[in-house]
Amino acid sequence: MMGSLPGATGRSVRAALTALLVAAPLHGQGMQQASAARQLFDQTSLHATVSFAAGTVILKPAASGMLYRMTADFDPLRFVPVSKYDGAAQSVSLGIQPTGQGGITVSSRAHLAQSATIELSREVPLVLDLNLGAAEATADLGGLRLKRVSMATAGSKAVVRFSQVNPGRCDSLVVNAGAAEVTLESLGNSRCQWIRLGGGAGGVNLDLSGAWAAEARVRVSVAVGRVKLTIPKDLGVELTLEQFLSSFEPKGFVRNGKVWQTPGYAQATHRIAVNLSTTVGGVNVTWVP
Amino acid sequence: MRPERRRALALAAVVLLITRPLAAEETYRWTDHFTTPVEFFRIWWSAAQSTPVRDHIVTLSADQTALAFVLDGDRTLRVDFDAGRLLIDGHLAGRYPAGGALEVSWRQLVSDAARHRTAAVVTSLHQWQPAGLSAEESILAALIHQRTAELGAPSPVAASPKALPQAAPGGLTIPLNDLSDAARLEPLLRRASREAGPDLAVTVPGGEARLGRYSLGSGATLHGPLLVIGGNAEIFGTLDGNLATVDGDIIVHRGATITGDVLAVGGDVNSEGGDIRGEIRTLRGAAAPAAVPEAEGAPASALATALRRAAGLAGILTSLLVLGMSAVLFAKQPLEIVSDTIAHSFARSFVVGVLGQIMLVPTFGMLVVGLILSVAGILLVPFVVVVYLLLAVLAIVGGGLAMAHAAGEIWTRRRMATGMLVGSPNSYRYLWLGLGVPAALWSAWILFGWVPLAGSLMLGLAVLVSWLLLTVGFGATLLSRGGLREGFAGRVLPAESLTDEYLWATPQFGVPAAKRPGSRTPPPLP
Repeated sequence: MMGSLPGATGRSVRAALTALLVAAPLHGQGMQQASAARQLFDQTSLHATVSFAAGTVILKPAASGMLYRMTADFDPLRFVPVSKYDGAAQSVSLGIQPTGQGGITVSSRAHLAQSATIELSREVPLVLDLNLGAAEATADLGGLRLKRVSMATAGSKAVVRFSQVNPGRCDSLVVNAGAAEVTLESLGNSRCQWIRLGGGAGGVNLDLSGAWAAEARVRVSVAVGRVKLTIPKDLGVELTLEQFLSSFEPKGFVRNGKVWQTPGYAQATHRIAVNLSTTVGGVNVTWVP
Repeated sequence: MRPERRRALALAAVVLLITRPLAAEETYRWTDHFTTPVEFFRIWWSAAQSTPVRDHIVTLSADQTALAFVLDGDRTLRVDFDAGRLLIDGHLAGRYPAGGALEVSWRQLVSDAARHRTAAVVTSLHQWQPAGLSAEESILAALIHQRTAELGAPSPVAASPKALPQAAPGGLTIPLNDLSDAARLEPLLRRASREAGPDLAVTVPGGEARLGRYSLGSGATLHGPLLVIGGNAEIFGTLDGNLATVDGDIIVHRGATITGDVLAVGGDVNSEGGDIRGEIRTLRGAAAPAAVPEAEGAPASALATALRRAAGLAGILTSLLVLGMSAVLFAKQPLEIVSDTIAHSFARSFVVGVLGQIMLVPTFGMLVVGLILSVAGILLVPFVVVVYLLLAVLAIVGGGLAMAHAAGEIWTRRRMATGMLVGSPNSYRYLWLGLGVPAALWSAWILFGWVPLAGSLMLGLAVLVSWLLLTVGFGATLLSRGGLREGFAGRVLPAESLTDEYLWATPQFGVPAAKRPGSRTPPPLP
């Protein structure tokens, strides 16, 4: 095709293609690996703020003797790892944040897949703030001494799992998801008294199994999306629904005035009040032994 | 060994390795029949040119005898005799009889390696000639020689551990009082590693720098930050301050204490029971061009920034050129109509472009809300979102290209009007020339962006002009309905001008209105 172009134009096209070939490797950039960690000495608590702009982030308990540890693969052209510890406040900021610098990165998508694994001590009481941008997050917070957890994500997927019981007592768990699919597993193990989950558009999976410590309140607000509730049969659940254009199949619930209750709610050892607000979508309930 | 002999040996090895009965061994896998010969060949031919060795590591246990070499460039080469299997860099290269002459000789070599310096170990390995080997063992021994032939003389860094003198004023200075910004320190540390040699001088304010392996004894206490270049830092005592290494590990042994932070660039931090009171950081992999200041405040920093920006501009312009040429090839008419709209109605296009930008988000919101409220339209929301965004991007980018086309065309025609010879006045040329306007502005910023005030002004001017051009292009795209409304720009002559009357009657255009036939304006009095 280029051969059919007029002389000057052909030269221009060839120059442009040459520039393309030159520019690509000039700005091609590999990933960088960084880690940050701190040993546990006399710290009595930790307030951890995790900020992760883009990629995949995994949270899990740290090995004994470590206060925290982060290992990260990042695109050094646009991002920089952050680890700032304040000994007086016993707080740490961890994550990968944008540098605010532009530029063109010519590389494959897989090559630029950022990831971070963040481990936090299970030996000290923990306040955890997670700020996730376009990140896919998997957090196993089981066994951590959680006092308070807040999580904000705009990414595609977030899974928060409590595989083990929280040895401490948690005041609140707040999750704000933009357009993400959010899954909270074994929520009872979190031992949180107040759980709030807000979503813009995306599915919400709420697994109420686990070892609940006391009565707890759960509020779920979803604008557009499906809500899937997994409820153990022996758990006392009182469900309040605020629906607009969403469906709900009340099979397994008993109506009591304006609320739905699980059978034997009054006699249940652990009672959970769930307030569910959906605009567009549906509510599915799955019962587990 | 001669190449012919090598190849014959390799072929023999393949036959032996494939046909050898492996099923009796505990570690047998049927895939070994296929993977082992492949790995054998890969290892055989993967020997590279001579590579300096920085360090060596010995592993000795009942079943395992391994010798690993740390090479320049963060590479390692590991030869492992592990329970009847010969592993090279973790890949199965073959199998040897347990307790045979090969294993006995290798174990002796590795045991000696634990007591000698790296240079002597490399020499011993090159001279290693085990006796009494079977045919299979000979092949494996030859393979080890072949694979380790690349091990060259140890690099000067490994050969001569020493304290480094302070650099002259203006020389390489690496402040280690704050290790929190590892990305900023990395270029300086990498530079020190690159320049490692007998003449290297580094200033560590308040501390000291070492070249090669460094060990702090168990009873010793060292104050101030410490930098170790090209070797491991082994701490048995107390280091009162920060510690940084480049191309080496930090090993903190039981009973040792480091009161400050530690940073290993191109290495690991291993705490073997020791205390590190501060932050533990590592950094590996490619350094970012964006963060490659050769030294703080040096002119090279501005150069690196300019190069990075130039690469970005080249990439963007190339992308726009490719898009523009595609538009000329496949959508020439709409492009020319939008371009003519710009030429004929520049101000109007600008106003519409500004209004269009203001209305872009509210329109999108109203569209989505309207679809949601209509209930039936909810299903369309995802498609509408995608299509709307695509159209918006297309209108802005396409408008920008049309703007470039218009600018190039106007400039070319003006040159031609003055009688200048222009090569090929076509759309490709117009685009090329038109994109030169923003390119020139951004290039000026790239060249002089480092100048404190002028750089900011140039950036502001480039942004303003680019926005202006994109806005006009966007507005013209809206006015001409994406280049589908032909009549708007006046490109197409009205129908009446194509009648026969046009050939003989008074021209409809270019004649004062008072003289046109049928005009209601009375003729001037005689």
